[in-house]
Amino acid sequence: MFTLEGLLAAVVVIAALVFALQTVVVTPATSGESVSPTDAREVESVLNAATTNRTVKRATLFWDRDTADLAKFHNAARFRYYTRSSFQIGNYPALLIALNDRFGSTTSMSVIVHYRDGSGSMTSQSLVDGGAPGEGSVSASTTVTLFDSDQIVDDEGDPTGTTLADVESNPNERFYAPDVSSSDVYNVLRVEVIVW
Amino acid sequence: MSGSDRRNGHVDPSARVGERAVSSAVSYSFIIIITLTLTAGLVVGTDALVEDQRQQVVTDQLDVVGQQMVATIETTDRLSATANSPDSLAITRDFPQQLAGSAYQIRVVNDPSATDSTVYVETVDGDISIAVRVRLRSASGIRETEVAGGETRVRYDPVSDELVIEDA
Amino acid sequence: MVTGGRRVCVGRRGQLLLAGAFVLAVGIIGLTFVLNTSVQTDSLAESETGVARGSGALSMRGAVRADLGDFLDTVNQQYGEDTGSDPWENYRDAYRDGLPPLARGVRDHHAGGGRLVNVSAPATLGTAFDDGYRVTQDSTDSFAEPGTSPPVDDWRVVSASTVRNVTFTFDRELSPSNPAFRVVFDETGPGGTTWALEVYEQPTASGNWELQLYVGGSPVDSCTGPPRSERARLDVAAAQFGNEYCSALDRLEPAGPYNVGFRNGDNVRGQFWLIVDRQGPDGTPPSPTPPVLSPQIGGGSTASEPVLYGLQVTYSYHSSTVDYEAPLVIAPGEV
Repeated sequence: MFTLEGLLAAVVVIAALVFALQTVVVTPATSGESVSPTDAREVESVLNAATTNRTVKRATLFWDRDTADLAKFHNAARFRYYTRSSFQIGNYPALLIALNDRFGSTTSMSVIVHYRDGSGSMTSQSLVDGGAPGEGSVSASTTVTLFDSDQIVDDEGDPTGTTLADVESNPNERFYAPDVSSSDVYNVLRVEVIVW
Repeated sequence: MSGSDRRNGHVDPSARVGERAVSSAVSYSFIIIITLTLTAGLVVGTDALVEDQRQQVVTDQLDVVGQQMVATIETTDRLSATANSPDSLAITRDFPQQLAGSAYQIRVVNDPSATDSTVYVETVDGDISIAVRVRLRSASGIRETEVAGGETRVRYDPVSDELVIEDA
Repeated sequence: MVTGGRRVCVGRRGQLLLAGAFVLAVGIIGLTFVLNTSVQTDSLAESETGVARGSGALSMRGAVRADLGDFLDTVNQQYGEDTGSDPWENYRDAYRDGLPPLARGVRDHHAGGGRLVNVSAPATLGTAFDDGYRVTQDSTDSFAEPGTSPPVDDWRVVSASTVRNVTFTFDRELSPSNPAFRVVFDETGPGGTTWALEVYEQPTASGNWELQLYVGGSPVDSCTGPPRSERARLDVAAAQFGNEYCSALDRLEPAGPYNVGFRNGDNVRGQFWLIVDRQGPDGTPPSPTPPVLSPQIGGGSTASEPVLYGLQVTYSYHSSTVDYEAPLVIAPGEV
């Protein structure tokens, strides 16, 4: 009886539905569980506080150059850097302890130190390797300058009396970043913290 | 039906046996009226629902613009806090020209008794208005002004030690 | 007619079905537009990043300040005075050599993010450096005026200038019943207030060191230090008394220029260090004669050597949204 009208009505409604579904704008936040666990501002504020306390600089100098085979950060397990689970116990730089207190319980974290190597290209040294960053990762960085007279820090956090200039001139010792200038400036590092 | 009419001997052109005492014209007009009412109600209801949603969306977006504007003002204020005045200081934000189809404007009013200012983000026809308070720590104040939505710049004027909000 | 009426009814119902379908379609499309715009709100809110807001300029300014402060302290430690006509020339040269690599490093790290961050010395070299002296008493001794006999208890250490990195260590107080030792900051500007820090031992046998802050003569705040038997270390810039935070030291904020004096200096024994700005209040430095005769330092100071007091640099930060160029004055630990 109502075949024609019913058919037309159905067609109209279906066309409207198709149009509606097509034009819904899909943005990253609506397409899955990639809500970031923290805000870039929080990471930035932790880094700002650490810069004022000089803990960022001490963390970059927390270097153990006395091991026979491979120079690395103090107490790093196999590689030169720390892995996520390994810095819950033992002596670790105050910067990592502060970051762990703020972000450690629910999120993963990576800390990378960028610097220019001897040939002038930008390279990096991992301080903490938390794996590949997932979706919704936020990162913040700050720069810190190392001087020739800055001293390497031992695993208790105290200066050892060996300056970067000493390490540079000693062929048996290595620091990850080289001396790029003949002036008192040793190198300029950028510490990047990624949290996801 | 007409057969039963003739059988009973009553030939009533406008009534039927077993039917209620309602003529077809009346029921026809009832159908028309009821369906028209239902249709009108549906249309009006949908329209009101869409308009209500749109208002909500505009309010939310005005709120977001207001928060971002105040964050920019506060950052500019902190950047101006150096021992000697900065040579140049300006932050430019790219706000959308219209929000959900409505034009809007940003207005700053200083509170004469206290040290804060209030930033009003409102639609041009004045329907919806969001107010956010901001307190400056270093600059001495914000120049009272009214700018249209869109690209906006917050600039520090060293001569008068004020923040100036203007169209970029 | 009835059949005709029914046929008309049927046609009407069909049309009504169609009309209802149209209305439904309009409603769906309208709601879609609303959904679109609310999603746009989300993306509008998410476009807020630190770089857009300008907080990158702020945090970089803090990092540059910290680095330059470290550089200043490094240069002061590494180099001694120049024996030529300008005792500060060694420091200036070292700083001038080191600033370009530092600026280049900072610039490189940010160039990738589309930001230009630069640190440069100001155009007129006269404003770039603030020369100063480090005044020290390294051996534990009384705080009376040096070279006086009988010892003069109240004397002026610094005239009309500003100081930074002020540190004391107190070994013991000679006589708790006598007036206690005070460090006085006397603002020389019009209507200036006098700030005083009084340090004494509590009279009880197992008492601690005490510190009291006076503003304009009235006590304002105080804090307690380590036990009397130990040495008390006072760090004004870091607001620490005996390695613990002291809020009274945070409140000590004299406006420069000011005179710094000691009162009852003969009552305690200890050491002190401070760095004083050589320039007088009008900005013109006094004649570069040995520090003993400089009007900024009290006569016969125990030991003083030229160091750099402070620097001025121009910090600039340019990105697609932020335009910032400002002179920064670096004098870490200024009281």
